[in-house]
Amino acid sequence: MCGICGIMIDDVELRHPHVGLLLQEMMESQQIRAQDGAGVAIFNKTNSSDTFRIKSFKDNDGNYVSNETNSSEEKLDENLINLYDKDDCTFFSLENEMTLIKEMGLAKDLDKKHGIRKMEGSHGIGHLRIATSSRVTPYNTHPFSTTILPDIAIVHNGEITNYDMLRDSLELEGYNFYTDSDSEVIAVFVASRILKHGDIERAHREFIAKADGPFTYIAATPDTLAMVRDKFGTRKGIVGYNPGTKEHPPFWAMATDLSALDVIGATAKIETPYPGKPKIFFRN
Amino acid sequence: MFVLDIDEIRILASKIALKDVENEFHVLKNALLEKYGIVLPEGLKTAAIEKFGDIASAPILYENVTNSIIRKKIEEGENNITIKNPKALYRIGVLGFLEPVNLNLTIEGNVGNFFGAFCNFHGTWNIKGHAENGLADKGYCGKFVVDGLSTELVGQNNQSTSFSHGVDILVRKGCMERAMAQARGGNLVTFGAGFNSGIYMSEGVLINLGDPGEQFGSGMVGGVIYTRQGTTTGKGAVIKKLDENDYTKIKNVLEIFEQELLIENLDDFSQTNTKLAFTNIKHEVIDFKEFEKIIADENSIH
Repeated sequence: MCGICGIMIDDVELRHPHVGLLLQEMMESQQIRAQDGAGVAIFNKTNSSDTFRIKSFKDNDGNYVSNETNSSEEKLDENLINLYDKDDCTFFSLENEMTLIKEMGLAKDLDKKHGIRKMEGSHGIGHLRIATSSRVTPYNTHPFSTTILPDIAIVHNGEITNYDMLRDSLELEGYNFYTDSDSEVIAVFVASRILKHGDIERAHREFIAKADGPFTYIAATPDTLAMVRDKFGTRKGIVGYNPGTKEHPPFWAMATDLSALDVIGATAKIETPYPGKPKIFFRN
Repeated sequence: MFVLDIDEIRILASKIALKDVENEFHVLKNALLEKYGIVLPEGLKTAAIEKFGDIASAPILYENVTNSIIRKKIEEGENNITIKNPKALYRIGVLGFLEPVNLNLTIEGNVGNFFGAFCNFHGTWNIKGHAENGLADKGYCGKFVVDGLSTELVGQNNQSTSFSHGVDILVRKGCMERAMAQARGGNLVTFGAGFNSGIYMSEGVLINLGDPGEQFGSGMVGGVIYTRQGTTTGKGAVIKKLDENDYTKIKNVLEIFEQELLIENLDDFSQTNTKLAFTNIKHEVIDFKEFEKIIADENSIH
């Protein structure tokens, strides 16, 4: 029973883009659903640069320390291979404009440590984890990113029951996995398809067609935010809209619980995305 | 009438700091005993700290306290209770009485998952906000009115047994998905119902007064869904025209909510007088000639 959420500011000028604040409110309102881990990925164009950040967790006898390496585009493959070869390090994020933060524990503690409420951007996603199919570790916490493409993040509620099969086939295509979570396969699959044909909607549709099990996930790229549900709609996912005021911009919001939309006033245009059809929002 | 403002308990609990949690938990325990006559289980302290890091921010504390206070008040003979500031707490209204109790309960705000699960009461429980998953899950007896939306699985496993007829539910702004899933009795009236409503129904009535739905009645083996023409069915369900018995059945179910829906001319409702005026929010005339019923496909039941 994980809790997921996402925000997309619907304002060209991006006035007061307090995406972190909105995500934090939504996560805390859904904390009852899951308490094993919390994380966010927030997109902010002004962070974009020639330098990429590779984030990993280093395992010091069960104490995980987060580590960050800067890399130029030319050195990216080499740095990622070096990281893959290290037995005590687990990759968790490849970033340019995106900032991905995740920890074991509660949303309020994530905010205390990283100041999530103060983070700004155009859009972002958040997750509350309760462990079901993989261990409670920082690297199994969401969001999941990939080494295939930078700035892709997904959060997921549900189970991918044919995870092994999908992972095997992606590994045969040459893609690496870094965790034992079924959710990572969504990120790797979607990123691999974007790399292949560049069509994000098609990438999500292909995942829906290939994946078995009950799932709802939210995926973010620099230009999109999508809620995707399995073809039978067996995991909840709700989208709403806040029309904005003079003080704050309008925004789209999505979450597992309706109450998470209610706490941030995103209860206009409430809908449940059609099962098996990605609901995609594009950045202004 | 008893009014419980959950914010008052939040204020009491917020005084508990982690530095001396043992003593301060007992301070809260004594305060709740004195003020409401309820006893907090010791295990709650451990569970709250393990799961939520402290006691004051643990939703399970407020779930437990709210249900304990409602139970206590019922035992004292109270049958009108209002809950303020529920803030979408999960699992409130789960009371565990074996025999039906008399209780009118008003919730001023949103409720979380499994509100009123296993309920067994006479009276009306009115939710002034929205309800999340599993409203009245496995409910035996009672009447619910939801002013807002309900998300998934409203009336799931609604129970009709040798000692109960199931739960009657009205959702004014509509249900999202799988309303009355696996219902074994009871009635749901809703202004809109999402995908897979009536999935695996075996008994009970679902009346969808909103737009046509999709994929209704998959795997149903009993019960009936009344909905506008244009609704699609899942496997195991078939669409039929309404007959005189259906009009009687619809009338009987709507009578349960006549007061809430302010229905004009319900007494005259029949196969020859098919229009009803619902005047509760806006004046809306619904012509049941535009409705059809969805029932189990006898050919698919083995």
